[in-house]
Amino acid sequence: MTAAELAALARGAQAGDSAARHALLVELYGAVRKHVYLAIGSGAIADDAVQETMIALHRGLAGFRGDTASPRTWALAIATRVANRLRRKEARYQLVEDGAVDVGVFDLAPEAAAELVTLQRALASLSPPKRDAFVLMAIFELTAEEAGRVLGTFANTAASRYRHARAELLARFKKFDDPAPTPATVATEPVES
Amino acid sequence: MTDLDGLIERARSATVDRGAAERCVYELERRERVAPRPRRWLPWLAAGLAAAAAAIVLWSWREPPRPLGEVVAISDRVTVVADPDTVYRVAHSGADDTTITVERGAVTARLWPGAPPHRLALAGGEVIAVATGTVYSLAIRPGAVVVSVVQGTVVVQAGGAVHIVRAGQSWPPDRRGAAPAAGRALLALSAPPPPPASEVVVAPVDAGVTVPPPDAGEASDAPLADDAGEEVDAGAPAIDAGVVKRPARALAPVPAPAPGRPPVPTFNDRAHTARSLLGQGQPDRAVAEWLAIADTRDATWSPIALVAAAQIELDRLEDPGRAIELAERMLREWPGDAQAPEARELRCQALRQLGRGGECAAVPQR
Repeated sequence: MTAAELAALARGAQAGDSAARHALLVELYGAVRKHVYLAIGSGAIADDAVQETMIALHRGLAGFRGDTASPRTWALAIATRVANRLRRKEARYQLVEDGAVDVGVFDLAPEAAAELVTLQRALASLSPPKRDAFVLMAIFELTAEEAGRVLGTFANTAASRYRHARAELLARFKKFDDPAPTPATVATEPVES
Repeated sequence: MTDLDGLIERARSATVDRGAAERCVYELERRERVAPRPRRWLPWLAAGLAAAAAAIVLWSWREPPRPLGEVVAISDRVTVVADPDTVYRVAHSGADDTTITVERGAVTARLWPGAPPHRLALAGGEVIAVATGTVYSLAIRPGAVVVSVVQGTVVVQAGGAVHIVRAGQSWPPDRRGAAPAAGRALLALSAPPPPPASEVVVAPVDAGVTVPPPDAGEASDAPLADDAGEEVDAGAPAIDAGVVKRPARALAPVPAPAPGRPPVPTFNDRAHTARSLLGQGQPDRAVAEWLAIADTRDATWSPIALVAAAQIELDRLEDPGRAIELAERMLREWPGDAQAPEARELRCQALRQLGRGGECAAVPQR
């Protein structure tokens, strides 16, 4: 659904159209769930983050101002704040490295789900600020200004975090793709006498 | 090589299970229907109720203003004001004494000074309050009869005991007496009302009745009311079965003194002067003023003045001998006066101060 369609649903919801509100929340749920999954993974903490975000969206819809942000940006901003708060609160949060990431909430084929797990594991290696900036700008295609507003920082800072995050991810994948040379290879090199 | 951009594109196109989204939103909407809306008006409602309750409590603590009855001249010496819903009976009204029986409510009376001595008694229940020159009231209250003295001193006889009640006091203490406004209304009269016509005027006290002028024509035509045993109901119509009551005379405003003639101070004024001198720390001059009043030989004011002077001599000037002399003079000159018990008590106090308490029982002879 395009940004214009989401804005129209938001206007209808604010005018009292319950069907528009229902459709808008369903659409925003997808963005929120994906963002939370990529930012903090899955499990109970992610479910809590999604739940809190949806409640906040449901209650705050009447006060949403469509002239300053799109509904999706608004929803991502709330989801980011909730995720960060729960991430700080839940010290037990562990980066998922064992591949046990639950992607059951996504409607994906097995191969696509595996790729999503791969991306989530790579994102987990980033610092939270870089990860948030990368998810917002790379996955949700926000501009630097929009990402800066969502993250509560300058646009340049958001863009810088995105660039560093991308560089780190590229380096990570390059390391995985270029394994270290084997001892046999070393042995074949000529030895100067 | 792992394609980061390919993974990003996969993540962008990944869709969330529609069923999960619908379930989540449905749950939100169900909670909204079930859960009551936050009642933001509740604190305001509670605050409003609390304020209303406080206002009611404050209002209930205030003594409700009671409407004041009309000033009624019982005779040329006695003027009364009855509280609303009061029933009283003029048991006797003569040249020497007036007795008013209060059956319900409260009556405030003023006895005007003058000669001959006049005895005013307010009776109610088992209580009789007697004065010879004062403003006081007798109120019938549930479970008690309350005597409140606005000015002067009153002797209250109740249950075989005699109590001296002075200005500003009530008997029994701390009980609500008649409406204070009634006393103020009587005190505001700077002179006794004009003497009544040949007939005794006893009127129903009904603030709602328009009082005709004193020279109303029907006065000579109507049969006269008996001055004894006539019942007056402040809340009842003016006409009672079997007795035709004449409306009260409206008290004429006090005429201004004639130009060029200085106003003659009344006893009330002189007594006020004496009290003021005492309040200003001049007890000697206060005693002199009281004695000047006593020397007039006024039946109402002389006994009061002598008792007041003796009180000052004993309490303020600490001269018990002089107090004894004044008290004995009062008892000699006005032995039957209502102030006599107080004079005797003062004399005994002074004698005890001088170590002559044994002489207390001896009554001074004329």
